[in-house]
Amino acid sequence: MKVKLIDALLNQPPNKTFLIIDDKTISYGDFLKLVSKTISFLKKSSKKYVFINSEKNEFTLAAYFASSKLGKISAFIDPLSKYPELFTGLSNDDGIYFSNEDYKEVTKSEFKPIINSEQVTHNDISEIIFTTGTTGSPKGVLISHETTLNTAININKFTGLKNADVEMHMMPISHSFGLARVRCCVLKGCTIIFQNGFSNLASFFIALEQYKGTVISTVPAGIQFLIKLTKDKISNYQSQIRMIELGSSPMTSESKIELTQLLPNTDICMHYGLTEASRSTFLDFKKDYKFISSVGKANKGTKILIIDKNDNKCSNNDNGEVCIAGTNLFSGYAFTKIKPQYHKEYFKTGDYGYLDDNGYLFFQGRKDDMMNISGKKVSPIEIEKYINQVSFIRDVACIEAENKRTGLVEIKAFVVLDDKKIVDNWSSEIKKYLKNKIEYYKIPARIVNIDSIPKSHNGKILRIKLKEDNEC
Amino acid sequence: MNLLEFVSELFSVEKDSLKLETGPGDFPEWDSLGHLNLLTELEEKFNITFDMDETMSIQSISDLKKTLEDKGIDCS
Repeated sequence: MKVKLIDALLNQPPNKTFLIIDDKTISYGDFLKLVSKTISFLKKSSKKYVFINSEKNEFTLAAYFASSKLGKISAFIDPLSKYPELFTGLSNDDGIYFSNEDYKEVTKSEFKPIINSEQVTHNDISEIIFTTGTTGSPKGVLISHETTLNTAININKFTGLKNADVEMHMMPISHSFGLARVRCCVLKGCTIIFQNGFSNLASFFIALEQYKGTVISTVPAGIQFLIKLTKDKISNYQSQIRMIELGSSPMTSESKIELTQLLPNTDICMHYGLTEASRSTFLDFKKDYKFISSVGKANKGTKILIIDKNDNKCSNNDNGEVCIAGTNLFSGYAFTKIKPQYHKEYFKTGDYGYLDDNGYLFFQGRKDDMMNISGKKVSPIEIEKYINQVSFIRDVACIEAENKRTGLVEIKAFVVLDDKKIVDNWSSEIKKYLKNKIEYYKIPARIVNIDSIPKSHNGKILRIKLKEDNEC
Repeated sequence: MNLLEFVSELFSVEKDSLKLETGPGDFPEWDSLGHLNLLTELEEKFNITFDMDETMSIQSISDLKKTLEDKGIDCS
C-alpha cells in the first residue's frame, strides 16, 4: 500500500495554500520541499522511531510526513510531557528526537523532488500516540498506515469535507483528534489554519474573518469557552462556517442544542472514540436531533458490541462495557506493561454504555476513574500519588467537577492535612510541588481540605460519594 | 490590587516570570480554560463583568490592567 497521504500532498496545485500559522502562509509546494529536506535529514539515521516534539508548526508536520515516507514510526511527544522518564523501556537510544533546534538543521538539508510515494507494507506502523493509562502510567498506542488512512477516509465521508474548505484547527497535534484532522485535510487538499486553542480570541476571529474559515475542529470545552466569552458573536459567521467537528470529551445535550441554535446553517457533528479506536461513532446534531444525548451511531467500518461482566452480549438498552471492532482499531501498545483486552475481535474500551433499539450508543462513563479535562485523559491516581508525597498531606482524592461559574469541567482535589506539619498557603505549596512533577493541566484547579476521604471496606476511594457530598 | 501578583497566584507561576506584555498562550497554564478562570475570578472579586469587546481586547496583562482601571479598580 502506498503512503496515500504523500500522494495527496503531491496531487495538490503547488501554489495552493496548505498551512497558515499566525502571519505565515505555506503552500503545498513549499511544504513538500520541507518534507523532502526532512527526508534527507532523517535518512542519516537508521533508527526506527522519530520522536517529534509536537509543537504546532510546519516542521512538526514535515517530520511526520517524512517519517511516513521512509517507513519510520512517528512518536509524538507532547511538548508538556516529561519525556522519556515516564515511559516504560523508552530511552533516547530508541530513535531520533526532534527539538525545535533540530528543525534548523533540517532546513539546511538536501532538497530532492519527491516523485511518488514509497511502498509501505500493509500493517506497518505509522505512528505512536502517547496517552495516559488507567493506572496513571502513560502508554504508547500503535497505529498502522492502513488504520490512519481508512479512518481519515471514513471521517471525510461522514463530514463531507471539501477541497475548498479552510479549517480552523484548534487542537494539539500530539493527540489523536488533532492529528487525524490534519490527515483528513491533506487527503482532500484543504487549507489548514493552526491556532493554539482559544486562549487568544482576537486571533481566532481575525483568522476566521481574514481567511474565511469554513470548518472548525475543536473539543467541546473550546466551543463552550468561545460562547461563554463572546456570547453569540460566532453566529455572525453562520453562513460562512459550513461544518464543525467536535470530540474527545462529552458535551451536554443543552450545550449541543445551544450551538445548533447559534449556527442553524452549519453541519455540526461529534465523534466518540479512543486513541485505540478513533472515531468509532458519529452524531450529526441535526439529523440525529432526537438522539442528541447519545454519542451517535457506529461509523463506517466500525462495529460496536456491549458486553456484561461475564463477556455475554447485552440486550439493547442494557448497560455494559463498550467493545469496538473494525478498521479503525489500533495495532497494540508500546512502552508499557499494559496489555490490551479483547473479546473475540472486539477491543474492550473500559467505557460503559448501552445501544438503543436504533443502534445509537449512549455513553455512561468509565470503568475506571479516568477524568476527561478538555479532551485530555487524566488519571486521578497519578495526581494523588504526587500530592501524597507532600509532607503535610495525610490523604488525598481527586475527582473531575464542574466549575459552577464557568460551566467547564476541572480537577478538584480533596486533601486531609496533617495539623502538625501544615504550612501557610498550603494550597499554593501543593500546586508548586505538582508543577515540577506533572503537566500543568493535571494540577487541580481547586484544592479543598476535608476531615477524611470516603472509602469502601477494602480501602477504595468512593469518588461518587465524594461528588455527592460536595455537590460536584 | 497588584495584578501581577494576582495572575502569579492564580496560575501558580513565579511573579518574576510575568511582564506587562505577558498574555494568553505565553505559558501553558494561561490557556483558554485558564483565561476563562482568570476573568471569572476577577468578575467575582470586584463584582464586575467584562463585555465581549473588553474580553476580545485583553491580549496581555497590560490590556487587562487598563480594562480594570477603566472600571475604577486600582491595579498599582
